[in-house]
Formats: sequence, structure tokens, C-alpha cells
Amino acid sequence: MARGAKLLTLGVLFAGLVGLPFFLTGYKLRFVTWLLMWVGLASTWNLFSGYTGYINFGPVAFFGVGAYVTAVLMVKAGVSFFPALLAAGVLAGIAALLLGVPTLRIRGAYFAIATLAFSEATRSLTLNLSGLTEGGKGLMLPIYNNAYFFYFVILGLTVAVVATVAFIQRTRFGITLVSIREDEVASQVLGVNTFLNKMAAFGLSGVFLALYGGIYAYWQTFIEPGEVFNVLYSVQMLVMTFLGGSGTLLGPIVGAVVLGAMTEYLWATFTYVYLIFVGVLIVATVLFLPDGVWGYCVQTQSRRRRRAQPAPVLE
Amino acid sequence: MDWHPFAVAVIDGILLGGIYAAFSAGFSLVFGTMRVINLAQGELVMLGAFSAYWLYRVQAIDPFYSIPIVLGVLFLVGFGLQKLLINRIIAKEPLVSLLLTFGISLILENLALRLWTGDYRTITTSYTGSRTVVAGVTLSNMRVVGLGLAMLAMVGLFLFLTKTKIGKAIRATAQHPDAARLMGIRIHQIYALTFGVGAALAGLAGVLIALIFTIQPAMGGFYTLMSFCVVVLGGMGYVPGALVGGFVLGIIQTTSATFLGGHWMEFSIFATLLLVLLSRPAGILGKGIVE
Amino acid sequence: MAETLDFLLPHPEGDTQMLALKQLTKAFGGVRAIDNLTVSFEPHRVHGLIGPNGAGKTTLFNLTSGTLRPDNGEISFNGVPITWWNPWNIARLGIGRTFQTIRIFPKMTVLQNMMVPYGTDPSRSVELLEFVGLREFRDAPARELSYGQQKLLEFARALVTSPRFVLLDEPTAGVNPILVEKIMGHIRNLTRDGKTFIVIEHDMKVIMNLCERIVVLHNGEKIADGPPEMIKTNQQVIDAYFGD
Repeated sequence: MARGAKLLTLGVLFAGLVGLPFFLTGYKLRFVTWLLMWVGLASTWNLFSGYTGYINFGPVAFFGVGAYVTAVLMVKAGVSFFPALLAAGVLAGIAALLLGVPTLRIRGAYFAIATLAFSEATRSLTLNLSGLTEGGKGLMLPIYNNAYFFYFVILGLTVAVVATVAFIQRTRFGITLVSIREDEVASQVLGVNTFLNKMAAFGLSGVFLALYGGIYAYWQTFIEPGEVFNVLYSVQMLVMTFLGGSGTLLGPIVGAVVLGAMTEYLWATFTYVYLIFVGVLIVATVLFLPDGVWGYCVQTQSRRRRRAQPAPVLE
Repeated sequence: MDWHPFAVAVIDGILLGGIYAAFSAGFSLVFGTMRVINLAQGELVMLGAFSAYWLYRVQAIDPFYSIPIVLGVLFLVGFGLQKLLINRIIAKEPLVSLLLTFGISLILENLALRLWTGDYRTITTSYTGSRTVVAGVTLSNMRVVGLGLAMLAMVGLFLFLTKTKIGKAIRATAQHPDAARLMGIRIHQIYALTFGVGAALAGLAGVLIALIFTIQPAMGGFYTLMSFCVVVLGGMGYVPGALVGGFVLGIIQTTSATFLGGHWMEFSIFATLLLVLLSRPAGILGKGIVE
Repeated sequence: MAETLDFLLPHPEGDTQMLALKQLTKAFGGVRAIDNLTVSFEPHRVHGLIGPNGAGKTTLFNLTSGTLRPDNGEISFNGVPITWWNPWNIARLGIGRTFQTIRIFPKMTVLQNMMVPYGTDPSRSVELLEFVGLREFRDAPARELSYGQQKLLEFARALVTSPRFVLLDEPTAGVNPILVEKIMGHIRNLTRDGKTFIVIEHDMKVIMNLCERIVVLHNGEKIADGPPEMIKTNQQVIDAYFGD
């Protein structure tokens, strides 16, 4: 697509998203807000795991930390929303860097399990520190029922996440991250400080996850550890990205929209059958479309483009 | 100091640990041989447990007699899964097997929920509630028998892997797939057999679990998670390590429950897992596979 | 241009030892891949590193490039001890390498592959692609190249950071004879321009023709070290290859 046409499409899309909430009410507005959040969460997961190839199995840990830090600051220290959210983001970033130092040294499956262990440990810890967090009883935030507010805040954050990924893709940082995924050792002997690069991406994704968590807490007004530290949220980020195509810009967006819409409309009616269907979808994607739906489109597109050019002759 | 609660906790931990070892050994075997991380492990345990339950409910087959049937059925299920699905992605990175087996686990868990509903079930026979008192400690007979059978299964697995031709072929394939192939071993067949054995073991553990605990179709997730813990503690891919890992996990679980209170038990397990991964990824015995 | 760590090196004119390994040992399980090895490599020449399979050649490369850490011993590059350095810092100091099994970035394009090394600028990357004749393939995913083309790509990519010292692990393995000549020509030209190469090879013709000095390893130890004529007739070397 030509540059001009691309910008125009983006402009129209953005205008549409900005205008949308004024045409929707109640349930539908909530749904679209929820969907936008998941587009952002999947894109955030993709930012680190899709590009570096280090599969983070516990992203929900940062989401939950963000939710609880925001909630506790608002409820127990009387801090207002945006400063509390900011603090949550900063704290999560620091936590991500601290976690990153020991875990980013290990590879593949072990890294995945370590992040899962961290996520579950954090959930359990939050549950146990009931003096601070009210534990299993849950924590009630100040009530704020402005649906438009949450729509625009989440829209803003999601646009920021997607823009960040788009930007990174074009920079050296993006190429470096992909080289880590393709062959970390080869990248290292070419002078790339893979550790620092991984830390940067990991920290950034942690911050974004926490911001979503804080917003989610205020939006839902009531949180408890089992929900905001739910392993299934981690899985959902992973599956959405994977189905759409990890390591691409639009993949997580496509995956989130498709899976999110399906979940919303089918889950309530056909709970178990729907999940069987998702399982089949995952199996089919792994076996036949390993690059995800969007990833597959990207591949075919570039292959077709290259075939259209005359084949170069070596020597 | 009163040693009694500590002793009780350790004994309980050992009793639990044997069963943990039983369903984790298969997980370790599969990873060690094929580098596949089977996220559907817990669901295989669940299938074993429910097979025993339904055989008892519908056909009045005593759970202990259903063991051979469960072993056979689960072996076929595992063999089939590997042959039809997992073998296709065997050369790819572990993440792919994670995703594939996760998809399978979703299918199995929700099929079970759809067919049998989420109700909790128990197997109650004349002997399931019986207890023995040894040296002032009350032991549930089922748990002791469970430990015994689990140990028997581990010994059986050990003999199978070291003394039989197929077992040796599995070990050869695990150590050096290319060399094994050159020697005429059909490694895809071996992979299917290995997964089948792992599934059969999980099924056996399921039967034992059905005799001791209440079961429900969504129980799989917990057992998969526990398998991770056991196998990391004992060393990934090192099958005998599953014994050590199982006992250690069982003891951590029971002692932390007794001395720190129920809530901190979960935390202790995950914190231990994380610490081991970060400091000693090859496991307590140091024999795990570390890439 | 690139901020390499060159400034750490003393002025290179008149140095006789560029890369020095002292009493290096590395064991895997019970097997000593490198056993108390001491050897140095002078600049501005092509050194050969040969030995039967399992002799420890690739392990030596891995230890030098920082990919592996030794159990004992020291490695220094122009006096700077680099034994425990991270691989990226060693690369920035001026040591480049290729791998025995080609390790290009398969899903990235040829040009992107050339853009990964630290401190590159696009013009240099394209220049090098031109040098090895891969310029027309710049937008093709690297995995679509033929084996020989991928070998060239990895070779060019290793040169992007202008390393003074290049470790080549079997650069001509599996490659057609015309390409072998080409690669040998590149190595000779680059050596004339001031680079130093250590080449691991199994093709004796290539080694004898290319290298002014050959080091022979066997079971992790150095069993011979000298010019090709001497190595050719050395009894120990012959035994190592044909004995046992």
C-alpha cells in the first residue's frame, strides 16, 4: 500500500475509533472497551515475546501488580487515579528489570516455566498479604462509572502500544530483537548486547501490562487476586498473538479481535464446546499455519511480490 | 520440641510424593526423549482417574482391577496423540509443542466437562476409607497403597527402560536421535511408544488419585503444574529424578501447610520452583537437561 | 562509525602476539575438549587449525569468541585479558567468527542480516554484499538462498564490524569448487589488507594452499605447529588422522 493510502486508512480508522463510543451504549460500549484492552494486551505480550522469541508465560503477573498497586494506593493512601497508575507503571518496570536479571539468562522452556512460577508466586503472595491487599476478600476501589472515560483511556494506551511496536519495528532495536529470536548466539558474536536488549523489551512490556492492570482495576471497581493474576489471562494473550501471528505488528490485533469477538458471542452460550473449538483452532494453527493467520498473509504477500520481479542470476 | 507434627508432615509428604513422582515420571520421560513439553499431562491423569471412576460406577469393576485396563487405554490415547499430531512438529522448538499440547489439553478438558459436567466425584468402596495406626500416626490405607503402587510403577519403568529392547531404543533415541536412526530405529515409532508409556503412567497415577481424592474434569491444570514442579526439582528429562522431585515437593507441600498455614503452602511451592530454576536449573541432583 | 572497543588495544604496530591462549582447559562431563592448551596467533596471516573430529577446534573458537567459558586458563587479545568477557564485547574488540553449521538469521532478509552487527551503517553493509556478489538478493529471506550463498552471507556478515581477527569455521565445507576458489581469494585479499584469519578446515588442499602456519589439535592438545611442509610430513599428525 502506498504511503499516502496507508496514512489515510489510519486516519479514518482513528477517527472511527474516537467517534465510536458516542454511538454505543452500555453493554456494547463495555465490549468494545474490553476488546481494545485485549488488543493492547496481546500487542504488549508480542512486543517482548513475539520479537525476541522468549515465551513469557506469566505476563499477568505485571497486570496484577499494576492492578493492586493502583488499587492499594487509591484505597489505602488516598492517591488519585492517574498518579497511582503512574506509580504502578514505574514499580512494575522496576520489578520487571529485577526479575529480568536472573531469568533472562536462561533459555526456552525454562524461561517460560520461570515466568509462570513467578506469576503464580506473585498471585499467592498477594493473596497472603491480606493486611495490605485484603487477600481473598478482594479490594474495592472508589467507584467511577464513566464508561467514556475508560474507553478513551484504554484507547489511548492501546494506540500508544501499537505505535511503539510499529516504531520499534523500523529501528535497529527491532532488528536486534528479531536477531535474538532467530539466533541469539550468532547475534552475540556480532557485537549485539543481547542481555541489555532483552531487558529493555521486557521492562517496557512490564510497564505497559501494569498500566492496563491499573486501568482495569479502576474500571471494574472490584478486584481480587484470583482474577487479576489469572493464569488464563496470560494464556489468552499468548493464544491471541499466536493465532494472529507473533512477531508481526497486526498479528496480535487480528488475533485479539477475532478471538475476543468469538469468546464474547460463543462463550456464554456454548462454554465447553466453545473451548473445545478454541483447542481445535490452536491445534490446527500449530500444524498448518504456524505463522498465524496474519503471519501467513504477510508471507504469501512478500513471496508473491518477489516472484513478480525478474529472477536475479548469480554470476 | 514436639516432633510429632513434623513427623506426620514428612510422612504425609512422602505418601503424596510417591504419587507426584508417578505422574511426573512420564512428563520427564517425554521431555527427555523428544524435548516435548506436554501441557496435557494433567488431562491424561484426569482421564485415568475418570476411567477408573466410570468402570467402577457402570461396570462395578474394582479400581485395582481396572488398572490394567486404564494402562492399556491411556497408552493407546497417548500413542495416538503422538502419532497423529505431535510427531508432525517434533523437530521444532519446545514452544510449538507447548502450544500444541495446550490445545490438546483444552480439547480434552472441555470434552470431559461437556460429557461429565463439572461435578465432583469420588470412588467409595468398602476399603477406601480405611486407616491404620502406626506408632501413633494415623495413615490412610489408600495413600499407603498408592505409594506402594507408585513405587512399583517406577521400578517397572526403570526395568522397562534398562532391560527391554524397546526401552533401550527409547534411551538411545533420547541421547542421540540421528545415531539411533542410522542404526535402524524408527524414531517416530519410538516417539509414539514413549508418549504412550508416559500417558499410561499418568493414567495409573490417575487411578490412585481417584482412590484418594475427589476428582473433577477440570483437575488437570493443577497436576500439570505439579508435574512442572516435580520435574524441575528432579531434573528435566532425568526420569529417576522424578522420584526425588516428587518426594521433595510432597514434603514441601505438607510441611509448609502444617507450619506456615494453608495459604503459604502455594507460595512455598512456587517460590521453591522459581529459586531452583534460577540457581540450579539442572535440578537438585544436577542431572537435568539444560539447553 | 562504530564505537568499537579498539581504543583498549595498544597501538598495533610491532606487536608479535595478537591472540594468545594460555593453559586453556575446557571439559564437558568427563571429556576434556581442550586440555591445557597454549598457543598464540600472530597478526596479518592466515593460520590453519586442523585435527580429527572431536579434536577441540570448534571449542577453541567458542572459548575465544566468548560463547563458552573455560574451566581454566587465559585468553588475551593484544595484551587485554578477555577470558571472561561477554561475547558481544569480544566482538566489539575486533574478533569476528563464523560457524560450522551456518548460523544466519533465516527469516530476516539478506540485508537485514547484514544490519544486525553492532555499529553498522547501511552503506557498509551493501558494500560488503557487493563484495561477495549477493547484492541482488538483499531483499530475499536468508533461508531462501542456496547453501553456498548462505555461506557467503555469513562470511560477509562477519566482516561488517571490520574485525581485525576473523575465525572461520569450515568456510568451504559443502561448497562447490568455484566458490571455494572465490572464498580463498577473498581471504587472501583481506589478509593483504591487514586482517588476520584462523581457519578450521578439513579440506587439506585448501589449508595447504591458504595457510602460512598450521596448528594441529588432537584430543584437545596441540600436537604440531608449523608451516604446511612441516605439518605434511609430521608423523604425529599422520597418526592422529589415520591411527587409533
